[in-house]
Amino acid sequence: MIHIVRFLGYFLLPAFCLLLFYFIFFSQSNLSTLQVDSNKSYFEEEDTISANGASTQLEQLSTLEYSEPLSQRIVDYNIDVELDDKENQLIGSQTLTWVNPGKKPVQELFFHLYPNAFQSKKTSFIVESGGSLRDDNMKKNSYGEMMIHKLWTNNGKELSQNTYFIRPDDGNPHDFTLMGVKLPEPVLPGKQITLNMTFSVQMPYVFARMGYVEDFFMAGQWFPKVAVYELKGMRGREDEGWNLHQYHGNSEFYANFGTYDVLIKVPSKYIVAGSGTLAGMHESDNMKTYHFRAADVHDFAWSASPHFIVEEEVFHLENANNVKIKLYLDPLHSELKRRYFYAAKAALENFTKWYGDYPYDTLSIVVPPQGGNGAGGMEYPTLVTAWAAADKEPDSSLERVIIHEIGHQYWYGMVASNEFEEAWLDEGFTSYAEDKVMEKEYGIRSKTYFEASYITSPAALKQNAWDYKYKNEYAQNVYVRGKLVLNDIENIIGKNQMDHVLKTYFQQWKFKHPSTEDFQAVLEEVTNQSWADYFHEFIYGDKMVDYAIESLQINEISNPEEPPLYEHKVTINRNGAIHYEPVSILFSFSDGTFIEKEWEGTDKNKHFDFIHPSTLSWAAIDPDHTIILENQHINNFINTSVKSDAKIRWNLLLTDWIESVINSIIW
Amino acid sequence: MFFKTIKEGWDTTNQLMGYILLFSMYQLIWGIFLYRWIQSIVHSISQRIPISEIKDAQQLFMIESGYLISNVDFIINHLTPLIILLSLRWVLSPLLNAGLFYTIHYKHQESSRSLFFQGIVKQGASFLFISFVHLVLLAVPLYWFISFIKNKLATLTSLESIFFNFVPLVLVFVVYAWFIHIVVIYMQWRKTTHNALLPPIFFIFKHFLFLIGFSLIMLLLLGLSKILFSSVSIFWAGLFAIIMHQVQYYFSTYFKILEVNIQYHFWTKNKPQ
Repeated sequence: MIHIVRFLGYFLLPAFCLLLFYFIFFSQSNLSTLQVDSNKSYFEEEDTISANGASTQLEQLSTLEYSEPLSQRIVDYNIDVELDDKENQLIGSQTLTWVNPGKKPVQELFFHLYPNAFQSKKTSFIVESGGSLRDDNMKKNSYGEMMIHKLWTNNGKELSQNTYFIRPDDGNPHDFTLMGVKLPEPVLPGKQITLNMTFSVQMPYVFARMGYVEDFFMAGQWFPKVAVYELKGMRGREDEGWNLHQYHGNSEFYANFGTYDVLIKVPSKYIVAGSGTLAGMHESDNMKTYHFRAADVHDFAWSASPHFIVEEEVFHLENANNVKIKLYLDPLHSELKRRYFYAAKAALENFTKWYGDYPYDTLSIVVPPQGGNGAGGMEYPTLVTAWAAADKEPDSSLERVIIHEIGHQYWYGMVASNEFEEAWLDEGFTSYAEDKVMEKEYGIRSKTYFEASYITSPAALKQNAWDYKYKNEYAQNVYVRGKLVLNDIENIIGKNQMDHVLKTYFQQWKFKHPSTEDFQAVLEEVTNQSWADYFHEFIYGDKMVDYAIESLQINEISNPEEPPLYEHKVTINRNGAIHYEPVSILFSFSDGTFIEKEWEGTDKNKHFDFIHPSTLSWAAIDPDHTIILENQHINNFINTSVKSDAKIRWNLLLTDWIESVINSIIW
Repeated sequence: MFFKTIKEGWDTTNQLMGYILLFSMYQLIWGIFLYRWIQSIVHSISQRIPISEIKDAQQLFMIESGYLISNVDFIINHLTPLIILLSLRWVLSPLLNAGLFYTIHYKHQESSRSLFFQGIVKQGASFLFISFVHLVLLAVPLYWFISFIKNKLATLTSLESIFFNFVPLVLVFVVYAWFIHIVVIYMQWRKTTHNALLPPIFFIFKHFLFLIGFSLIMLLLLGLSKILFSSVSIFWAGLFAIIMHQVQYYFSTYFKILEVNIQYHFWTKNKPQ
């Protein structure tokens, strides 16, 4: 008994102390905020000179049988390739004629051997991508590679011994995606050289744009492809020379325009889709040979499957040439051809009106089979791939991807930016264009504020694709942030002027290789104003807009004869770049009244002071979400009326849980 | 014998009321820091939850808070106070144990100096060492566990599959941590009574059933008091809930010291000679 009494005695003493503690610690309250500092580094703006073309008189490539040139044709490929569907191999030979577009003799040629990215786990591509791209994983032990067997000049000089590999980006000795060839004699300015080579490609299980799934084959980046020779002044270059990069996890491609004549030999059961126009087909010894020709393009891709259901429709638009749309459907989607055609025509029609003609006579759409998403959602000149057929009734992502990839025919295919170094010029522009068609044709309007929220790691838009810290940072900036910046520019200058900017940019730069600075120059020319500050913040820099309600104080002014008044002090901070127009702030009071205020938003912060008969219940910056580049909506709102009971309950529960864990281990 | 040991433990525990009071004040102070830390977080989050009248604002809040939680800088900024608190406690805890264990063992000896401080001076260093080993033994599988979860999370999509993949792992870890806890307690008793550092593995295996049974009883008692006090804070929020929450420190300290005492009696009766 005595124990129990003593026990109770000891209980009363701490209870008293607790009360004391309560008054010391819990009677105050202050406001703290959630905020993340945005990085404050800027990319230096570069002085640039743009070049619209070369002045060197070029030797004519023997491409007379092609149409009138639309581009400066620097390369002419003649490729013979055979598909070995048992070994998943391509056996090929190619003759490449390359014209030196510069003013200096060229001593060596460089080739991208893209399939070597899948050669081992140590290539730069696999190390950077971790063996996965766009939710698609490289299959275990399914490697791919490209071998050059023989290389010789037109006059028979063997050059296989003159080849070597370079790794200009990271020095990775396990990367064999960029090969140099020392030429026996230099190619003089305006002169040409013809190289012959035999090669073979081992295809991986479909991953990162190429490979096979059972008897479906996607040949993208499948032939030895000469690198881009840039001229002085082009994309701000101080001196002419090669633009050399390895194949990276976060990077697509860059090539000069030219002509392609390709013979593809496959077992008879296969149907082949290819870039350009089908010029002929013949069959012998259970093998079919497809003959494709493409001009004024900078890449050639093809795909083969015995299961394709081929559908064709002609797209006709007044004052524009007819385009044959060829659809290579996976049987699972045989019922969906109308959706594909409608989306393709909607895209072509709108882009033609907005930007300019689609000058090619064919557009091929390949729908990969289930499991083939590694080949899906990809753009090549005049050939695009949809998402792999997995559902019988897919959602609007079916239309979205078709429209996106056709958008790339403009922003990549014709306006051929350097995707290694400025990927946003393709992806940002195409995503912007895709949204416009989705809204106009399908009434699906992107909620840009949700997309802005997705940008958790804003980074400069003009930078090498592999310099983004991680895959998602590349995607959220190059695709989403790039698009939002264009939408923001549209909001500033108005829709009509934006249409004019993009049309001018397309017309001025189609079949050329513009840089971000070239786009800026067009924008400045059309709008007749400087965009240097804007580009410095959002394009060369990593800025977003972030206005935040930093703090809130409410004091009661008591007056013995009258009802009390409340003095409010609300502080709004600008944590990011300046929005181009005043920011609206809505204050809501507990008596049901509202006050709306505007703030220029140029200073670092602003205090709003009110005296009001009732207390503020909440305040919100930009309640209609009109600031496109605001990516931290979480600090745009503050609520004063959080129930203190609920708060105490949560506090205690959480304290309890955490304490139980800690106390079970230590004192 | 079981009840006799418990009775002895109960008696010696009641002779340590001063220490119980001291220890519960100590835990109370940490509890207040913890409460304040959680309060600042809950407060800063709850005041940002938008009202539903603002278009899509609540979804934006959900999306962006999700990103914040996965933002390393944000987490480090907010976790720093907890990490500092835990590190301090991890250093202080073995010193307190050194004093407590010494006091329990030598309570009948006459001494002019406080037994508690004598204990800290005499065996504090060894207890710190044991506590360091304890930390390593817990941290190594935890490190593996966290990297496993990170890899797994990338492949698991449904909540259900996450639940069924992780719950067994968590249980395994809890059982492991509990086993380590028992080993550490008897390492400390062995150090106090025999001045030897190696764990009494043979003793633990020999009396495994008793140790489990006893541990479960203590767990039940602690759990019951936890549920009791937690429901108070759920149903009567406000000042009363806070007071009740603080009172429970006294009970949980009492049970913890009771556990130590019973383990001591069990150890002295059954220890290897």
